Amino acid sequence: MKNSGNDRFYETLRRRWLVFLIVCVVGVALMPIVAQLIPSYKGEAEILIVSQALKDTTLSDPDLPSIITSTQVLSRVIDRLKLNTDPVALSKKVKTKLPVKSSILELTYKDSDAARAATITNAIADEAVSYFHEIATRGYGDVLTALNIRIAQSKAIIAEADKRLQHASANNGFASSDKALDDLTSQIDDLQVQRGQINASLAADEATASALQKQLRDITPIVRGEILQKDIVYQQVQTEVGKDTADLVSERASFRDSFPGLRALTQRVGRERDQANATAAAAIENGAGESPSYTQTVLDSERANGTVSADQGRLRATDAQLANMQNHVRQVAGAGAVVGTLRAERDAALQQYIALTQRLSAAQGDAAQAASLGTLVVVSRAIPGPSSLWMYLAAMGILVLVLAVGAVYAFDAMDRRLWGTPEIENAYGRPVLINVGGRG
Amino acid sequence: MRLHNWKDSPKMGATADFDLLRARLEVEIARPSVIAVTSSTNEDGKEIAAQGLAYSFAGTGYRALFVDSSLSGGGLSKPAPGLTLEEIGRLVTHDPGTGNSAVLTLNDIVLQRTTSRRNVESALDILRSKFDYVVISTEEGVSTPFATAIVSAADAVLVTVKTGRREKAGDTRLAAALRGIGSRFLGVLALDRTIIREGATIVTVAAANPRRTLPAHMDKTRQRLEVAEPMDLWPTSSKVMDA
Repeated sequence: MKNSGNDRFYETLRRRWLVFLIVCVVGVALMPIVAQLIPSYKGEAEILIVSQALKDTTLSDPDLPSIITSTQVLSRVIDRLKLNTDPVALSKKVKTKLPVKSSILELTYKDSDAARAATITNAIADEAVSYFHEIATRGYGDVLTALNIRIAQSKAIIAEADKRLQHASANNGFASSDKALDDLTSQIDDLQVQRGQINASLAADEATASALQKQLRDITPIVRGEILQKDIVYQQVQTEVGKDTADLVSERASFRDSFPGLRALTQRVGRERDQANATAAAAIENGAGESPSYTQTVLDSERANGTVSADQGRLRATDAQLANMQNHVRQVAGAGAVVGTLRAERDAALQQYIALTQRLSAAQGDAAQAASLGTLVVVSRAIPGPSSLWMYLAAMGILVLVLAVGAVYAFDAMDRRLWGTPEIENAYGRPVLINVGGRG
Repeated sequence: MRLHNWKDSPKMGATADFDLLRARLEVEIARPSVIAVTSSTNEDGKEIAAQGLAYSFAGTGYRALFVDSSLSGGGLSKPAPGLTLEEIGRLVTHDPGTGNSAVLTLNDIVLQRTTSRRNVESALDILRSKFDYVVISTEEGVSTPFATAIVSAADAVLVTVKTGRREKAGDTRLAAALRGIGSRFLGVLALDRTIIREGATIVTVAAANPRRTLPAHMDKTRQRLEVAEPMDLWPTSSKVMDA
C-alpha cells in the first residue's frame, strides 16, 4: 500500500514535472523579495523599570513605550548601527508591552535577519535606558561637565606650579632661605649708617673748605697791597706813572688837545701804566709766598679740599658697596618672589580644586537623587539565533518544495484528463486488466 | 447478413495480452458467458479488443463468438442484412462447423427490432446455448437502449480505454452508468493508441484481402501485432466438443 502510494506520488510528479519545476524556480527567484517583505525573526529584550513614580501613586508614570519608539532613541540606534532606514520605518518594527502592575517592559523587534534582530533590539534597549537617564538627570549634566572641566584645569595648574616650583628651587638654593635675605638687609642697613656718617663729615668738610675759600677771597686785596707795597720796582714804576700822570693833567689843563706834546705825554703815561700793571702782576705772582696769612689760608683751604675729596671718595665707595648689596638683595628678593608667587599660585589652585571637588560631589549627589526618581535597567538581552542565512534558506527551500508539491497535486486535481493506469482506475473504480500494445 | 470467414480473419496481435486476459476471465466468469465490451467514446478499440478476446478463446478450444453490434461498424464490421435473433440462432446452430458463423454484425437487427432488455436477454440466452463465450462489441457506453440492454444483460462487462491524455468526463459518466444499471463491470482494457489507429486498419485490410501486401510503413506495426494467417477457429477443437 505504501509502495503504491509512493508510486502514485512519483507518477504524479513525473507527469507534472513542469509545474514542479516552475514553482521551484519561481520560489527560488522570489526568495530575496520575500525575505525583505516578511520579517520572520524576532528579538526580545526586557527592561526593568526602577521608577519612583511607579511606587508613588501621586506621580504619573513615564510613558516608556513612547520614549522607546521616539525618534530621538531610534535615531541614535540608526546612527550607532549605521542602519539604512529612518526612525519612522524602524518604529513600525518595534513593539513594546508593559503589563499592568509589572515593572518589566517587554521590547520586541522583528527583522528578516536573526542576528540583526538581536543587535537592533539590544541597541534600542541600551539607547532607551541612556536617553531615559538623560531625561531624568537633565540640568545636572551640564553642571557636572563644567565642574569636571574646571577640576581638570585646576589639577593642571597645580601640576604646572609644582613643576615650576621644583625648577625654581633647583636653580636658587637660597631662594627659599629667609636668613640669607635678612643678613643682606642687615649689611645694607650698616652701610647706610656708615654712609650717613660719611655724608655728614663731607658736609662739614665742604663747609670748612667753603669758608676757607671765602676767607682766601677776602684777603686777596690785602695780600695784593702787601705785595705791591713791598715791591720796589713796582713802586718806582708807580711813582713814574704818578708823576707823569700829574704832568699830563697839568698839560691838559694848560694846553689844548691839539698840542703836540700832550699826545706824546699821554702815550708815555699809557706805556708806564701798562708797565706798572705788568710789574704788579709779576710781583703778585712771584711774591704770593711772601704773605704768611695768605699762605696759611691757602694751606688750610687745600687741606679742607683734600678732606672733602676724601670724604667724597669714601662716600662713593660706600655707595658702590651699598648699591652692590642692594642689587644682591634684589636678586635674592626676586628669586624669593618667584617662589612665593608659585607657591601662592599652587595654594590658590589647590584651594580651587578642593572647592570644585566639593561642588562636584554635591552636584553628583543631586544628580543621583534626581536619577533615582526613574531608572531603567536592561535585565534580559536579545540573543542572536542560529545562522539566519542557512535557516532562511532551509525554511524557504522546504516551503518552496511544499508549494511545488501542493501545486502538482492541485493541478492534478483540477486536470480532467486521463493520463495513465492510475487515473483510469480512479475514474472507473475498477482495475485495468490488461494494457494492450503498451510495450512497443 | 454477411458473415466473416474465420479463415479469412487475421489472428489479432498482442496475443499474449489477450491470452492473459482470457485466462483471467476463465477464472472469474463461468461458461457459457456473454462478455460485453464497451467504451466511453468512439474509436476506443472495442472491436479490436472484443475480437482479440474471441480469438483467444477460440484458439484455446472454446466455442467462441464475436458479435459486432456497433452502429458505426468501425473498421471491422460490415452491415448485416436484417435478421432476427432467432434467425441468428438458427444460423449459428445450423452451421456450427462451417467456420462461417463465428462473427456476426447485429446492427440492423438492433435498429429494426430488438430494443427491449427482455428481447436482448432472450437473444443472449440463445447465444449462450450455442457458444462457450460470446464477446459483443457494443455501442459507446449506454448511448442507446440496445447498448444499455446488452451491457445490463451481459455476464461480464469490459471497458476499453485508449491510453494517453484525454478528457475523463465521459469515462466518469460511463462508470457511473455501469454502476447505475447494475452491470457486472469487471475491469478496463487499456489499448495503446497505435494499436487502435493502425491495428484496425491492418485488421480491416487483412480481413478484406488476407494476401494483400501491407504498405511499408505499416509492416513494422503488422509484425508487432503479429498479424498471422487466418486460422480455423470454429469448434473443431476436441476440448470444445467435449464441453
